[in-house]
Amino acid sequence: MERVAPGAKRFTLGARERRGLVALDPRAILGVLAAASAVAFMSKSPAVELALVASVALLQALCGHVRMALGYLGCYGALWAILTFVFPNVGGIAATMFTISLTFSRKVFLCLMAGSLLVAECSVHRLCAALARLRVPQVVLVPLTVTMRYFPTLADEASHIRDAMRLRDIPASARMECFVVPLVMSATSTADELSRAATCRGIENPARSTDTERLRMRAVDWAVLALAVAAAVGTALWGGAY
Amino acid sequence: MATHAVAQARPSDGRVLKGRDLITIGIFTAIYFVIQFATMLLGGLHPALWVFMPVLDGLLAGIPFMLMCAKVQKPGAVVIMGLIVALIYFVTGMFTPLILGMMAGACALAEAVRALARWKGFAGNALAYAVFGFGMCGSPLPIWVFHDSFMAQISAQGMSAEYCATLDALASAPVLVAMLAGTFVAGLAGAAIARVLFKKHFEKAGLV
Repeated sequence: MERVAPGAKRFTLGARERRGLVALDPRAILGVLAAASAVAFMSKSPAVELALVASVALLQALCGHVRMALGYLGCYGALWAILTFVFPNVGGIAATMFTISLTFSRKVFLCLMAGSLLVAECSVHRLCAALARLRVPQVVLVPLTVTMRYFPTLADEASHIRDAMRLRDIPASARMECFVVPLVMSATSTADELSRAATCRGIENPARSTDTERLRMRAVDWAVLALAVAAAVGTALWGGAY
Repeated sequence: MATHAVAQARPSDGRVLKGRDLITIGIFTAIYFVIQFATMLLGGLHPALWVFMPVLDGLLAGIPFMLMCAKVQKPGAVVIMGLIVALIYFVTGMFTPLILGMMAGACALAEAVRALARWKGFAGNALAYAVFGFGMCGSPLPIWVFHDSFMAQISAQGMSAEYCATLDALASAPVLVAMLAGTFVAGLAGAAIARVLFKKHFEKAGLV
């Protein structure tokens, strides 16, 4: 590594951005996410769950997302307190409804944490490059990317249509149709436009595409991966009953 | 929509998925997933809504599926759609091995139906959609398949006694049959709704 004058920002195309003490390869974070997903439907004692949440929070903090880590820890604490102290003492249908959603959020909490880390650490482009390195075939990778990127567009479109509907006085019976039809129309034309743009950029090229991302699994990535696997196996074997 | 007419006039593309098809699948999968996810969230409100979630899903999600089938008349489209939905559910921790099995089976069966219908025509695609809907039946299926351990698990997780009692009452054979049959019928109905909208709007605009 060459020396860089203090204050000067060294720019290397596709280099990993370094925010915290460690910078992870997307594949290492994907491994953590897969482990979190596997752990989500194992039974585990509250202590084990807390330890897992704390360790993922530590990972987030090490990657430089201290605020994210603290936020998730706070949320988890609040969730646990509500489920343990408030709900058993309050009855009623509303409490039942909230118990379901809160229990559910607690179940997927680790995945949310690992997912946020992944989104914060790498761009969609970087993630795709990592998935391509993992030999995910193009027929899966392309639609997956399009789906993930289309969600925000879909939300935009929906709010535009809602605005337009508010301007006119649409009867309640026709509202569903008036919402769905323009949405599907715009989705179809987006698909067409995107296809043409992608064809121009060589999506039909059968050769393996290259990218500018510099991806390399370093010792720290392997260590994180090993810890994630160990945590998942450990939870499966000695996680304890809920 | 002249460009689209050009695209449609080239059936010689063969039966291999091209970039255009992959992008179309991706976009309609996004819409399908949003509808699916909304019905899943609704299922949190009441146990009966959760048990009959696949039925509601079949009724509402027909448009993206049928439009995708109309645009991508090739093998593999349904499997990719199912795979992406499964992947998103997997990374968000909402997946059980039972859903995975049901999804894989439903996708394979739907592909077989489409292949038999040569990937075109309303009837074949509608049937494929009705079969595809069984994938999500895997979500409430544990209350029958793993009845005792599942009930013990959710009551340990802090679900209220009345919730467990309601769910227990639903875990009977007639409800299972109603759920499965309902999913299939709702799938056909959802496809019919899509067809009505196609005829009314999309064909005029040259989309299908």
